[in-house]
Amino acid sequence: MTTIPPFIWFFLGALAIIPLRGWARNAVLLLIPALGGMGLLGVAEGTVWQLTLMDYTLTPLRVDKLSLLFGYLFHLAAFIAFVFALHVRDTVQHVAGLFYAGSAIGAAFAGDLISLFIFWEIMAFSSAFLIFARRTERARAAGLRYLIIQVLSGVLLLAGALVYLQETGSLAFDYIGLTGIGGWLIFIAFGIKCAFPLLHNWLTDAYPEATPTGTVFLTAFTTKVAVYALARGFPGTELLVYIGVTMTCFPIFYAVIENDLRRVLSYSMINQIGFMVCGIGIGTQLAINGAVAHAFNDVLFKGLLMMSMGAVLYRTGRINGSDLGGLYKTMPITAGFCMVGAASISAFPLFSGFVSKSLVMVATLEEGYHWVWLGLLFASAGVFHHAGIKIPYFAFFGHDSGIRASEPPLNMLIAMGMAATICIFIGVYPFALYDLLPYPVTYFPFDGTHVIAQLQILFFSALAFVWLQKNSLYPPELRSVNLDVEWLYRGATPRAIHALVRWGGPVDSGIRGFVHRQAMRLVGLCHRVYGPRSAVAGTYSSGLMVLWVAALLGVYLIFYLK
Amino acid sequence: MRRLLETMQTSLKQSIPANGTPPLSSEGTEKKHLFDNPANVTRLLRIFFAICLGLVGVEFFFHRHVVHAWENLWGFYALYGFVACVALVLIATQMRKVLMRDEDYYEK
Repeated sequence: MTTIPPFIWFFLGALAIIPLRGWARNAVLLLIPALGGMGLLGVAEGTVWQLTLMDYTLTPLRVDKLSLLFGYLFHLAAFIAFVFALHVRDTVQHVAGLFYAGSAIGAAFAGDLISLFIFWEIMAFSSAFLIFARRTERARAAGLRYLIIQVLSGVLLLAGALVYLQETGSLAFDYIGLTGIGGWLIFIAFGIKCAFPLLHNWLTDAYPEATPTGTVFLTAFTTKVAVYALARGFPGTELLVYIGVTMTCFPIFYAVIENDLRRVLSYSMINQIGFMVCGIGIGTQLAINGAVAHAFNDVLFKGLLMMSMGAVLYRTGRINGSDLGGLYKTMPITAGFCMVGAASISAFPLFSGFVSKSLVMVATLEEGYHWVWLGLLFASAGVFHHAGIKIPYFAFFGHDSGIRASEPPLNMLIAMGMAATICIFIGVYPFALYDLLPYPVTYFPFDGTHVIAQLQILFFSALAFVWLQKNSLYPPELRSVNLDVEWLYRGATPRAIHALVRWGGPVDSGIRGFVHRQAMRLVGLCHRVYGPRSAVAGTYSSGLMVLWVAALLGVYLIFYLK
Repeated sequence: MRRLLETMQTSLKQSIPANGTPPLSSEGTEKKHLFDNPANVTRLLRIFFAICLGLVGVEFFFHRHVVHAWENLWGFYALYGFVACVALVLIATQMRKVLMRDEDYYEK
C-alpha cells in the first residue's frame, strides 16, 4: 500500500473547512492533526514516495528517524494550537493555520530540494495571513515585511538548489555542506528562516503583531523547520557553533529592556534557537540529539509561554509589561501554566528544557569549545532572567495594574494544560523523548553534579533579580521601541528616500529644466533647417522641377556627346 | 487615541466576571490575595534565600565532578549565574541610552 503523504490531509482539510461552521469545523480542525499524527505512528522508516517530473525525480515523502521526529512534533503542535484557537470565528486564520501546519510537515518529509522549496514558499504565504488577520495597520505593515523576507529566503533556496544541481548533479536533500556557491546560497536561505544574527528581525518584528492565536502557530513551525533543515544539510559545520552562541547571547540584552512581552518571547526564541544551531554546528551524535530534542521541547514550552501571553492579550487587550501586573489574582490558572513554561524554558530540573539543553552543553564541553560553553552558560542564566522571571513577574505579579481580567475560554486553558503536561512529563521522564532522537542516547540528565550546578545557576540568577529590584537597579518597563538591525530597512532606508526626495528634488528639477531647455533649442534649430518653410524641406512648383530636369538632361547630353 | 479608548472599553467589558463585580480593584471590597500581604512576600523571600544558602552550602559535602578547570572554583555556578545576570541587566540598561526611541518611532 502506498502511504499518503501527511501534508495532503492538511491541504484538503484547509479547503474543506471553508464552507463548514460550528462544531463540524472544529471537528475537522482537531481530527486532521490527531488522525494524521496517529497515522504517522504506522509509517515505517525508509518509506519513500517519488514522482518523476521532466527528467527529474522528486521525493515529496522521505521518512527517516529525523523527519519522523519533526513529523510527530508538528502534528502535536498543530493539535495544541488548534485547540487554543478553537473559539476563533475567522475562516482566514483557520485556513491559513492548516496550510501552514501542513506545509511545515511537508517540509519535514521533503526528500529533495525542489519539494522543500515548494513547502518553504507555502509556509511563507500561509503564515503571513496569521499576521494580516490581526487587521491593524501595524500588523499589515509587519506582515508585508515578513512576507518579503520569507520570499527572499525562498528565492535564495531555489537559486541555491539550481546551482547545487549544476555543481553536483543531484537535488537530493541530504548533507549539503559549505563547499560550493549552491551550498552557501542554501545556507543563507536556511539562515534567514532560522533568524541568524543580522537576519533575525523579521521574527521580532512580525510575531508580536500576529493575532493572539496566530503567534502560537508561528512559534511552532517556521524556525523549527529551519532548524530541521540545518540539522539535515549542515551538521558539523563549525561556523554554526559561533553563529549559535551569538544567537544565544545578544537577544537576551534586548529581551531585558523590551516592553512588549510577546516581543520579549520572540527575542527569547532566537536565544533558544541559538542552542540548537550550536548543537548542529558541533555535529557529534550527542550534539545533534541535543539540538533536535531542544527543538522539540522549545515548540512546547515556547508555545505554552506564547499561549499564556496570548490569553492575557485576548482578555485584557494589552501586552506591554508597563500596562500589566497583578493578574494572578483573577487568572491564577493561566499564571500557573505560564510558570510551568517559564520553568521549562529556564531548564529547571524536572522540566523539559533541562533534559535537552544539557545535551548541547555537555557536547560543547566535550568537544573543547570552552569559550562557547561559557557563552551558553551566560545565555542560560539570561534566559531564566528574562523569560523565566520577567514574563511571569511583569504580567501576573509585580506592580498591581488594577486589571481584573477573568481566565480565558476553556479551550485556551485546555491547550495550555496539554502543553504544560507534556513539558513536565518530558522533564520527569525524558527517555520517552530520547527514544525518538536520531541517535542512541546514553546520557543521564539527573546526576547530582548537573542538578546542583543548574539549580545554583538558576537560584543565583533569581537572586540577582531580587537584588536588582530591591536596589531599584532593574530597568523599569517603559513604552518604547529599541533600535535593532531592522532600523536599516524600517528607519534608515525610508529616511534616506525622504531626504533624497527633499534634497534631490530641486537638483533634479534643475537638471531636468536644463535638459528640457537644450532639447527645445535643438528642436527649434531642426525646425528652422528642416521645417516646412526651410530651404531643405520647402515645396517647389512642378514647372521649376521640369526646367531643372531639362537642364540636367542638357548637361548630361553635352558630356555624352563629347 | 480613540482606538486605545475602544480597546480599553472592550477589555474592561471582557474582564467583568460573571458575578458582576467591577473589574478594577476598589479598596476594601476586594478580597485579599496571596501577595497583598507583605508578610507573605517576606516569607517567600526568606525561603528563597534559605534555598540559595543551602545550594552553596551543599558543596561542603558534595563534590561536583568537573570537566573544566573553572568549574573547580567553589560555588562557580552560583557566582557565574549571579554575576552574569547583574552584568546582563546593567549593560542592557546602558544600551537603552543608545537604542531606546519613542513607541511610535517607526510610524513617524
